[in-house]
Amino acid sequence: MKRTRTERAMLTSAVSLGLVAAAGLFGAWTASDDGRADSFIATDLQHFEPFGVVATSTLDPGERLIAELNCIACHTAPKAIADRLDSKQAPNLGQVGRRYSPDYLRAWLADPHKVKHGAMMPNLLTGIDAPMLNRMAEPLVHFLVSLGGLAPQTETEFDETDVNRGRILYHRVGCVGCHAPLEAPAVLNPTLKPTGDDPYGAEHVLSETIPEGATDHVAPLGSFAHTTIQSLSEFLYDPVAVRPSGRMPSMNLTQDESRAIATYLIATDVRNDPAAAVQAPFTLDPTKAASGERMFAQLGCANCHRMGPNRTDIKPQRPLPFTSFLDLQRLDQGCLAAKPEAMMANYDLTESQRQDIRATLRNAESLSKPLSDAQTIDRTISTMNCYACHQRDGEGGPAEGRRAYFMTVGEAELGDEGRFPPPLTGVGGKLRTAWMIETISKGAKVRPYMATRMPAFTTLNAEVLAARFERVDAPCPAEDLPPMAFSAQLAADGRRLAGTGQGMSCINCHSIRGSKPIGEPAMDLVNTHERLRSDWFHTYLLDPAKLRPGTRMPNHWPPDQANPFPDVQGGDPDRQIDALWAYLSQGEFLALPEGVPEEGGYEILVRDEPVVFRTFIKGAGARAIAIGFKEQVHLAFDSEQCRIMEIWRGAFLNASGAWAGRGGNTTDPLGTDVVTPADEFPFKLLIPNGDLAMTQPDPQFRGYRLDDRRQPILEYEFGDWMIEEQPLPIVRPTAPDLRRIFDVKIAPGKAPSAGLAFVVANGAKIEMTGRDQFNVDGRVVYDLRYPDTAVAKVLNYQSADHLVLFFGNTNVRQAHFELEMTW
Amino acid sequence: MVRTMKQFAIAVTFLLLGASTTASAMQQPLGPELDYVKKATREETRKATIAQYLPAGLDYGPWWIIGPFENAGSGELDRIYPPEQDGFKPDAVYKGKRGVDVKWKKTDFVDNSAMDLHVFGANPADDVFNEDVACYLYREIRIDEPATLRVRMGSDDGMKVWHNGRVIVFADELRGWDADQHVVDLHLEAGVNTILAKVINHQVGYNFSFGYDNPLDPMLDAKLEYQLDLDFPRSPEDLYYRMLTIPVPPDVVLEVGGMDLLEDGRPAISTRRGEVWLVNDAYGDPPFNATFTKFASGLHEPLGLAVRDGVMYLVQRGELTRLVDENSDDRADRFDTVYNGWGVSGNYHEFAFGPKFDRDGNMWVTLNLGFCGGLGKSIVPWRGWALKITTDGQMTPVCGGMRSPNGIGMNAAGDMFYVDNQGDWVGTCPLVHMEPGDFCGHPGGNQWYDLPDVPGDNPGKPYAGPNGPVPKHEAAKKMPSLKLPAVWFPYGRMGQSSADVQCDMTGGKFGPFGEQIFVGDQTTASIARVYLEKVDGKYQGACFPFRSGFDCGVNRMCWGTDGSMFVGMTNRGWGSLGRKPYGLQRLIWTGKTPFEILEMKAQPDGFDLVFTQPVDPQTAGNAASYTMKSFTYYYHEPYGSPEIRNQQLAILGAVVSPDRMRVHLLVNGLREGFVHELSAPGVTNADGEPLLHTEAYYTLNHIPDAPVAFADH
Repeated sequence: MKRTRTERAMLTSAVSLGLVAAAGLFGAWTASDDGRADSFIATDLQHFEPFGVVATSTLDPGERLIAELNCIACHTAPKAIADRLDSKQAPNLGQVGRRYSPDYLRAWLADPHKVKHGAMMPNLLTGIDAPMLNRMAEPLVHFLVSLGGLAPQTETEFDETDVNRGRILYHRVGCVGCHAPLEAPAVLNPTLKPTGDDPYGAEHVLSETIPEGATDHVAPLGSFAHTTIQSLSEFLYDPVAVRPSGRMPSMNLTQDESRAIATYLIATDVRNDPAAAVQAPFTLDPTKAASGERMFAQLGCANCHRMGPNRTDIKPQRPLPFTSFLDLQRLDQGCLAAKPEAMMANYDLTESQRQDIRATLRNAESLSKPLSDAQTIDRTISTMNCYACHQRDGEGGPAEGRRAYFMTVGEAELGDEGRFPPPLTGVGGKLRTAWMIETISKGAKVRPYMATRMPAFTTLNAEVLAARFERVDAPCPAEDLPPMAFSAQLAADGRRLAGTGQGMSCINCHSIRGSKPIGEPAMDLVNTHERLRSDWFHTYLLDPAKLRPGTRMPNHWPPDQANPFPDVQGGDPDRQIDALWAYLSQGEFLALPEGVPEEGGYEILVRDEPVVFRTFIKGAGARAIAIGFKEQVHLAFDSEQCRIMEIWRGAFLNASGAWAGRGGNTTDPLGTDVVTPADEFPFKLLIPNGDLAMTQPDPQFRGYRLDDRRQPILEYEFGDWMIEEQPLPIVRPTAPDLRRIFDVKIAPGKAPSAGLAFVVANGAKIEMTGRDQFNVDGRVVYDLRYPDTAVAKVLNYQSADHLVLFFGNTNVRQAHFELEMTW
Repeated sequence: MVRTMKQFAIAVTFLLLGASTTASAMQQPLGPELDYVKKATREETRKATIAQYLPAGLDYGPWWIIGPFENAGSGELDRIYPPEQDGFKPDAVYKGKRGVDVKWKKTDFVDNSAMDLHVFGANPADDVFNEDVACYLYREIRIDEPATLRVRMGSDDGMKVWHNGRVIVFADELRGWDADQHVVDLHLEAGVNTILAKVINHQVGYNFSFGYDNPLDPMLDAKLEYQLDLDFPRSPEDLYYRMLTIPVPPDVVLEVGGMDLLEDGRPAISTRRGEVWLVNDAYGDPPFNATFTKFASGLHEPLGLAVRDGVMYLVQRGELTRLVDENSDDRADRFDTVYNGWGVSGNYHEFAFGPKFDRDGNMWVTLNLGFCGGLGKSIVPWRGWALKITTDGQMTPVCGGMRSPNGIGMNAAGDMFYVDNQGDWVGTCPLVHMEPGDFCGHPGGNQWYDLPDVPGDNPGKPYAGPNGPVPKHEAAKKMPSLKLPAVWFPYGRMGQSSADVQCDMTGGKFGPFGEQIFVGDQTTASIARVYLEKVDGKYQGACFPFRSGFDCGVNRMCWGTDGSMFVGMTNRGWGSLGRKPYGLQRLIWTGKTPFEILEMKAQPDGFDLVFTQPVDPQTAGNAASYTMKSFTYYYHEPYGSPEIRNQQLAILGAVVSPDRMRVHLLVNGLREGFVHELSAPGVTNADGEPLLHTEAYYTLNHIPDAPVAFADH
């Protein structure tokens, strides 16, 4: 059931009140003893209740609230405290007029929390009567509209392609890690479009309803019914330009993707509540705007809000001095009052949140002490909500209700390993710092099979953070690691081990330098040496399940078995792993190992005897039988429909669909000059007057046998008729043609048939061009040989010509006939 | 590698036994083909044997090196330095790069490897003396009579090589090293031959290699490996079950999908490439006379083959087919469609497995689900089901709820079992007894229960508890047709992809495990052993490690006429341990009985262990020799399940039977529905040897109500 936005807001509100009340100081998550603590899901942390307060073991919720609410924007604090708090900045307003309608801005200023539950902005116009509110808010609205200019009317017509695309992107690329999903996981199926080759795309097994708990602990989206596709897509494309603290990171969306998601979000809200999209007419009054600018400075707005890159900031001019941070004494007054006085900042805090803040403020000096590396990491990944997708040290990972939205792309059987982002436990000891910096600041895509994207956290100081991870997690700094041996021999040995044939077959699962993996698509090995620390690589290879429990990567050196490659590096696993490292450390310049599948490497050549090959064939079905002749004419027979579907000349076919990787892919016939016989099952039962019988039996395939020259004879049944069909090549000076020989007879003991017909061909125009010779559409010439009791006619029905052989009318028990096809 | 005292003890034991040359009656002389020279160790033996195949007196002298000489860039290979004019004069001193004195130095460079020539300058990492330089390498080759030797040389960057003064290689280029850049047939003269190589370097890599092939062709090499395995077994398991590798010709891609014996005892093997191969002389020990005959081709992934009354049946993706060789020329001439009524949509994962014959002469076929988004579904009929088909094509459905049932087999009582693969709704690989109307757990094919004349009711949506998914045994209480596995194979330790089910009916020819079941594993290239018993009328039991170290993932097994076991392998598409992509091996019992837990039986208060040999009462009767823990698996949609609700169990006592063949373990905290993992590292037999395999995993679906007395075992 799709909840309306109001219901969701109410639910979140009710849940948040209940949970925050119950949360206490240090975590009320339900611990599980079910052994998942080390894999992709650990425990459920609470976020956005409503201020992104996460209860983990080292973070003081009061401090976190102070940081998120940016208290020190008004209550100045010394640098040490400011550095430690690293407070969240308010959105840049330089272009705000373009983004929101004036009606929305007005409602927002009147009560932000009513408009968007969970908004961090305080209500500065609280506790005053309506006329006063109007006198204060109106100039502000004009001022804000002047920033960026009046936004156009919200769209009411939407491009359905964009809506559908945006629906899928929103639910797939990772938005639902932090934001509520808007639809059930089954929404993700349209990417798998049903096609003839993949009827599975038509039905998806994912849940049809939004799972329980999917909308718990989410960052509020607010309403989009008041904004425009253009401005919202710009925001999605580069969120940090508006929200400089980067809590909403860039998801590395292209402009098309941003537009699609924006269209979807707006369309959803507008269609839900069309009235919300209607704006009252508005004319910008410069005088009011000027007055609003003064208010902006005096009310305190300018203390938090900057203008952004293209506009000068407004200097704050709030007349009342704010008590500085360290001197705050009256902790039940001002913003922390249970009911803030008129024009005091009203943050809509719960009593429990106020208590948390008070507790911290009573000990405010302790905030001058800088956080340790471990605490900073903990705080950073809580603040940036890495825990929404990643587990680290037993906390975090995707929330229960949202797990269904984490998907693998394609048919990788990787289980959770393929759909949940990797755990961050010990990540500083695993990844090289340069790689961490790249990943944090730009996002990464080493796991192409994972639908979720790693965002680009451009506002973090990635260098500093990566260094912290290294200090906390790694056994030693990377430069202290002993240098890895490299020699041409080591690299050659590593190349051998990576291949199939004489090695460990790493490439059975891993792609390498862009090659297609043979089986499960594990990550490309080409950047191993750039990504991983050599010591972690070594430990991991010796026992993958120890560092990544539940991984599909097998242990190639089980401790109680003999080394499988005693002749490589003396059979010593440590040196063998060194060899693999040496080989991979060549990066782009490594030579591909043995066994990387070549494109088109499985062509079947027909040299003397005919070749029968059964597989999935495009155009001939899942029970297709291909027959190839050395004379270079070949055919594909569909054994469900019991008829030849295609005939071609030249090369036979490429078996890679069946013989490469896991097989099960369709095979396309190679070659040229493709012709198709009649497009229906050719045999027809007749009734005594020569018309077609009302019901025709389904043909049943019975197998085939090989004659003494190993040429196949296909056998099938049609009602009481037993049919043998043998295709044979005809050698001609120009190009080979095909002869088809038919022997049909009534099964022993069964009554003879009223009559049998055989549809030789159909086409737009069939002409008789000689004795028993017919030309179909100027393309294929048929020469027929049939018994005297039979008759060949060209009939026109269903808007086409049909060449039909009629076998007697009564007492027909058997017949032999042949067709020669020339084209 | 030896990591524990236990392994040390085993290692010492088998080294001692191995060294006494397992000179049992089964060995045949290798004949004149391999000239085997036995030394103290495997490596020395290999080296000495290979030396037999080299020309008399062939001796490679050490490599000498002199340099560096100033040499900038390419095009300078013809610049002549003194060593080229003088030849090898060991005491000569010349002026090299930057006027430094250079002399010939003897090296310890090794053939058949890339020699690193960054050896110049006081600090070899110093690029000045190793870049834009030339150096010379010299060695002598002695031989009694003239002979031709194929050598392979490579270098980084270019080089010029003389043999006895004549240029045999000239490569003036900047390039990376590779072992096979120049393949030269060296015509050695009797006596001393000289090789002089001038190798230039521009920058970075600076290498030279001189290699020669193994004089043994692949067949001789296989024979050498065979003899080395006999004399120097690589693992303790080798002492009890030898592993022979049957050489497969290079043009036979033996990705084994199905295997059975013809009436004449020859193995018939169907492959994933659609071929059927007959193996002639498959029982040789050594196995080098085996040859392969192509019986059929063009089949659509035949993943199972069975021969009954001289007739061959196999299952292709879309059809159960009978193959007939009408004129007895070892080539199939007829391919009759016995049954093709199950659905095939074209999804790559819709595999079909079987047939396996039951006691009544019916063939059993199991069908993989199709896969979409990583989840299994049956959009065409009977995917996820077991079907019973008569030889004239009458089909009866048996049970559904399967996922990837890559293995069917019959136990000694004639009951049919299958193995499944970990994935959605399957916590880890299970062995499951199939009965009409059962629901094995995966809902993907539920709709076929609704057809008329299908045994069992549609089980409906899988049961999940009010707080989320529950273990399978709890779900089974709410879903009456949900069949619990007889045995779970804990993930990783007991494999990751179970394949094939074979019951030992050899009457003792395959060792002490008569009537027990063997299950292969396609990822870990190993075979596990299963002991089953019936408690409360249902099968349950224990799995044990049996044999590891196969060449590739094990996919099919079949019994030979002599009670040996043929093991067919392939890993394409899924990866496995082992060093080959496919193949055929044979396990032969050596006649020595390993010290193992033969049976593990459930009791109301613990377990009974039956051993293959009398135990030492001191160790086996000491509870501290054992540890036990238990865990279970979720029955839920996500791929696989972790081991949940882990608990260590207290072993309160161990009572040894008077005949010392059995121990009764008193265990506190047994839980129904849980896998009970036993570790018995402390137990030894009367000779003080530890167990060959110390782990056992019992799936305790039901705790028996009444104790089973010892005499009843």
